[in-house]
Amino acid sequence: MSLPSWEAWTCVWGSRIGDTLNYLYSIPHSIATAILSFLHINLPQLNYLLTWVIASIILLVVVMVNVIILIYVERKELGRFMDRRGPFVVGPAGFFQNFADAFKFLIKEMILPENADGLGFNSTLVIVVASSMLIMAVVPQAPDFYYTNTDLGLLLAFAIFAIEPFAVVIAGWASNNKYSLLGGFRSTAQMMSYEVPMLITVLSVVVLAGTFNFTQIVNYQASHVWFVVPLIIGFIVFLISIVAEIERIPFDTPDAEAELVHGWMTEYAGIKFALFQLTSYVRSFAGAAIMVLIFLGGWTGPILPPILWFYIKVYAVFTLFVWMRASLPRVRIDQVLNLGWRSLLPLSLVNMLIAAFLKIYGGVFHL
Amino acid sequence: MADVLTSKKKRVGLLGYAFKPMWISLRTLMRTSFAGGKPNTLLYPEEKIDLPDDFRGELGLVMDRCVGCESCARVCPNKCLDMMEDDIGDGTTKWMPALDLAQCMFCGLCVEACPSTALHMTNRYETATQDRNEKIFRPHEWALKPEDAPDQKPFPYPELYEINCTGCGACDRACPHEVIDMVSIPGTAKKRPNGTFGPEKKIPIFDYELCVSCALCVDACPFDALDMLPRSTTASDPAVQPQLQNVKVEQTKQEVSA
Repeated sequence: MSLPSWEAWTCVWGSRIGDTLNYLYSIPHSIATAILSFLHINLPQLNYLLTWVIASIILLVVVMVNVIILIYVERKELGRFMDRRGPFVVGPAGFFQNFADAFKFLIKEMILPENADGLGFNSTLVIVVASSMLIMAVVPQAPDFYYTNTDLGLLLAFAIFAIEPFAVVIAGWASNNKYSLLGGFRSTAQMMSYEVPMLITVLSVVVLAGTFNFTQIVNYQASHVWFVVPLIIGFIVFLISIVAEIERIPFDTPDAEAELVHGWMTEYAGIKFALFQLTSYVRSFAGAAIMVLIFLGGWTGPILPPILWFYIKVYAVFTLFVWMRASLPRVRIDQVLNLGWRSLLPLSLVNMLIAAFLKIYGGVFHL
Repeated sequence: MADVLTSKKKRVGLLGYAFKPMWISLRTLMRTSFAGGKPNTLLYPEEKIDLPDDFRGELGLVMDRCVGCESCARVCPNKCLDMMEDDIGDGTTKWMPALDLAQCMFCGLCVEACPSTALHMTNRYETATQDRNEKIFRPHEWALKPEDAPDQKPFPYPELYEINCTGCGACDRACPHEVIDMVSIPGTAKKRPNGTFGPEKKIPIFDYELCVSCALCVDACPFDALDMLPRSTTASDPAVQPQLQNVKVEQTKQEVSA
């Protein structure tokens, strides 16, 4: 079996419709070309590799900057929801509080527990962080700003989403700590009870749009109606499921501070813990982005450029997450399973039925 | 356990579990973010809260008013007050309480017990120091100016239950001031078999102008004949006092002076 040639690989990338308008491709490509021409190197393979690397770095920076803003926004909004001020000392209106916290984590010692499994303990960090960063690689942010635009983007995003709970179980086991292990088990139980209704809800969107491609789903909504209107039940189910999936406060049973010490993150110290926390916000960002793309019309909107509309909607959805976090008490693990299997699964099936009905007789409703 | 999980009495339902708290927090957000509202949080080092007048902060001593009766030292549950001689500022020394604020629990019993309102709880509450010894004060070190400590407490005054009084004079000896005077009641002397008269029965009379309400006389009385009562019911208030007893006391006074 022979690998395809370099030209074949680059051809896959270059043949995509609209890629010449993709800033996340054209800007890195021009930078790579400029660097290579400055060094008098004429290797298309190297150009291709360099383009990917630069595009990855740009995407990483964009996601990280957004995550930093998200953490700041959450702390401020959470403060207002709870009738207090958020951070306000470090930097303008406390914006650089995150950096101060990150610096504090950096100067802490990284402890490996004595009886912990070093390989599992450390590799989990890589798996969790890498898989979470990878989600945004398949989620387009605008018609002219995306990393990849695959035909199965929606499915791929949720496949990558579902990697983390396995790593969480490994982390809980490798930490050699009863609370960590309980947190890992809870993460698995929660994933099993929420993945099913969530994916069925996603499937209803796919049924209506007829595609797994994010861009085409958004285009369908732009030309018809946002899916939140016909699939309002699905929207609510998806909202609850995605909050459970990204393990935010009403459903953060895997790292419940009041019950388990910090769940599966208990034994991680210093910058490792900071990376896990950062990762949870990356997952929040990705969850909000997917929700915006498949239910709220993505980047479509009047006057403002698409990328701006996308971020406005993402931050609005994130505010919804913060609102839920500020208001709702944590559910018990048995309530989590009850809610997932008894309420959300039937509701998602009803939603699926509505979607199928609208797909067949949707001409009446211009769907 | 099953009863707890399935009991129908305390079901809050989706409305009470999800929507009501979300509505409350949304209301808080709107109140704190829009229309010029701001959060309840006090930016502590920059802003200070307005304290009520009866706030129990650090203790202060008005040295001019202190009579050295040791009521505060006796009543203090933590034994943080101790009496010592100290200079009141003009060279003269006085018997006054010293304070160990590190042991103080701000119960305010000493302020209540102080008969001359020399003790006062100020509004100072930032009492942290690097060294524990900095919180031990000699009397002049925790002194207050008289104008900082308003004198507004109604004093209790000693009142006599004559039926218990034996005229032993313990109250007279215990009184730090010249408040109590033991006077003889004419006609109460017993006639001895040899014809002479024994000592007359004595009774304390009080000069309330000088009384500082320290209750030392009450403590000293071996027969429970004295009690501290608020001002309005004591002999110093003629409107309340039965006229008969008043006249009687005046009569005794006149006889003594005569």
